[in-house]
Amino acid sequence: MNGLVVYIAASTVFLAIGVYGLLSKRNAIRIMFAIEIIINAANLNIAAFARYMSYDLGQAQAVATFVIALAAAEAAVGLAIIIEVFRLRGRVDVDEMKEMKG
Amino acid sequence: MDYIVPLALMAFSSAAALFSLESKSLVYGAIALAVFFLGLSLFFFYLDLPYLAIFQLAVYVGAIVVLIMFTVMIVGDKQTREGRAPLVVLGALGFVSMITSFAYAMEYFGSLDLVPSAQPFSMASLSAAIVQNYGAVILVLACLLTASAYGAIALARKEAEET
Repeated sequence: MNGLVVYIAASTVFLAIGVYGLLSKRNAIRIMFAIEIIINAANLNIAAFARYMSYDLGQAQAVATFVIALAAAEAAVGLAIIIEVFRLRGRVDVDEMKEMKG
Repeated sequence: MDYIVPLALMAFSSAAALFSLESKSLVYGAIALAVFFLGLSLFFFYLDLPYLAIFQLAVYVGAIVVLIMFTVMIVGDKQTREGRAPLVVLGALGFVSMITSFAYAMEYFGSLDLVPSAQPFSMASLSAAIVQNYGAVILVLACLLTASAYGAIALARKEAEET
């Protein structure tokens, strides 16, 4: 067993927790929490693989930085949508957001 | 000994992540999420990636958690409802399937003879990677961030125009 295994294990556990939250929660803010946890699991994988597979650490950190920036943009728009839905409906239950259903 | 710190960080961060999803109060959930982000930044420090760790702290704990706190303040803390039973079962199945796929991944990665590279952290290599290799990505990212900020402001201004 090598050290990379521990990081992959941590990343898998975070991904599993995120998927659990994504599938089981109805509150839109909790679903945002789950999405952020999943994104962080991916970032941990990028960092651990760069360190253990001897990739260029500069490039790995650059890619992880882009992922964090994208997550920030996603959180800003997602939370703005949640606030707008709350103004319209008074709740943030995803089961009640049916306007965009096909 | 090499495994103790990452395992402890894994336990700490997993507990924080689970509490952020399962806590009754959204405020405590947001605080637990901040603790989870802090755990991740400790992972990055331990991997000797200090820039990434500090960026993680600044953006996630400093910006996203604060944004979430403001949203919880507007939306209120009493919005939580229990998930429906079928969805909880589906979520639990997703959890189990992820752990199972991890067991299969271990068969491959566990057999490799890997040691962490001794490559030191270098701000010069990070800057070179960003400017030389990912210059176009930075431009696209800048446009995307501007568009998302504009979109968020447009959504927020809607009510001000209506009233």
